[in-house]
Amino acid sequence: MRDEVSEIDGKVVVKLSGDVDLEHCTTVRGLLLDGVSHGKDLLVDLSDVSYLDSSGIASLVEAMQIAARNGTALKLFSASVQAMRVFELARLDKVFAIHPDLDAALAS
Amino acid sequence: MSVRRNTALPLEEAVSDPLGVLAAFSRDLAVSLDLEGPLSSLLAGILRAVDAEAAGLFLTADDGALFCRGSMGAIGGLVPQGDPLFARCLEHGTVECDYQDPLRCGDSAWHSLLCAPLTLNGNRLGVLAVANKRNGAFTPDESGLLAAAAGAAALAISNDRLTYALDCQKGVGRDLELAAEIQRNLLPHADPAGFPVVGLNRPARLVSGDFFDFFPLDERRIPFALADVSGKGMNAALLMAKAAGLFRCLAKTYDDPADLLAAINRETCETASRGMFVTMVAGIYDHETGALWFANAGHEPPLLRAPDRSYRSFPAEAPPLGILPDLTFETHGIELAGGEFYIFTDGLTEYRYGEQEALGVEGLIQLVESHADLPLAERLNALLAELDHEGWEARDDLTVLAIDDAWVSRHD
Repeated sequence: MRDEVSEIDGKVVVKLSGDVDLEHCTTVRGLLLDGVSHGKDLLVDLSDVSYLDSSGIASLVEAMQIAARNGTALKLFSASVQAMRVFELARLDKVFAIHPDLDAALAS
Repeated sequence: MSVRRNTALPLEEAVSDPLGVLAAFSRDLAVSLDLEGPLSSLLAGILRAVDAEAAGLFLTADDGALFCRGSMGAIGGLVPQGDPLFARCLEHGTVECDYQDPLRCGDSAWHSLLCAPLTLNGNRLGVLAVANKRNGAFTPDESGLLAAAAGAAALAISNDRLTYALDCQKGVGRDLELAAEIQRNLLPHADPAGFPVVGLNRPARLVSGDFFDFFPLDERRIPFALADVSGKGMNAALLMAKAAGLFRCLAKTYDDPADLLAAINRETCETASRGMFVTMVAGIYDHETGALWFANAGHEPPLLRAPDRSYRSFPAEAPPLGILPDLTFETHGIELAGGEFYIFTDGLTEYRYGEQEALGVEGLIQLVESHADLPLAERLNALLAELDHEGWEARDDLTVLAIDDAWVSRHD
């Protein structure tokens, strides 16, 4: 798993890669919680996520809840087929704002 | 220094002889349940052997500070840890001795000091020190004795710490086994031959984040549920216990599965932490009419198997429980009409053989069909037994619940 963090147009962008699962959830959670700690919107790039399990989703949920309490937002974009299948199956598309690409996420 | 080969020394002589001091320490360790006695004897033996006033064993705490683990002599615990010799011994792991200069400083309380490091596998655990030799200066032989004693003490202390860590691990292990036993007792133990609902749970670890439940509400209706908590291990097991308790309690109050899930969701949201959530299918089955109502909160689509062996799945229309407090759910009503209803966790459909594709829903259907003629409980056991072959790997807790409407006609 190789994750990247950047800042674009005043928003923190985190790219998650590989298996976002129990084995890597400590790293993922740290990245996401750090991402929402700056008082800025957090955009999460899921284009290179090959596997997403409930531990990884829980980290996204926690970051989203913290962002909401801070008055900011967590948005997902470019979800891989594997990640999108999980979101649709569990109807998490009703929980997260999922955008087709970075531009759409930035513009929302 | 004379080397004695006769081990049958009188006690007093043994503990004043350098080798006897170490031998006595080894013997004490072998018969003692803790370190206190052997360490005291070691320090006393060293004091006698080197004829000094004070001996102290100092260990480094996690924060780097030194503390006195044991001492002998009226001022043993007061050996000056700030002395340059003491600091050098600890820092460089070298034996430090001022035997060339018995009156090494003007301090009236401390006129001589000998320090040896407690070192094991390159880790410095602390310092063994003796101070104030009564006659003359510490000798090189006495330095050798203290170094050997420090080595033996370091090994004993390391073993003591390992034993303590193992005891703690055993304690955690016992707690986990107890938690697993309590968790197993949360699952229903209905007579498989006398009930149209059967469930099986196989944790990936000692405790599970899955649960299923069912119970007779009255002579006709059976509330049922199957749920999967995010994550694994003890935190998932604790949330599982809460969700199971909420279902067992609230299912007696709410007739409509959508209302039931909404109530469980509100309660779960109040205390959920670290983003944890629960996917759940909950419903109620009337075994007199074959009618079944259920609602699905973000869970794998349950399967309806009709008597003609056709299948229909029911994807979730609402997200999991514990994320958004004001969710509404939808109740589906179906007629089993002699068919079967299967609810399962993704631990089953994601079961995989090596690097091959996961079992998937199609694989699960094939397994159900290959054992369709068996009674319900035997069918589920046979289904899981198929997955027990070498090479199959569970990535998650594995739980399945099945309702067999044909059971009614077979038992009328």
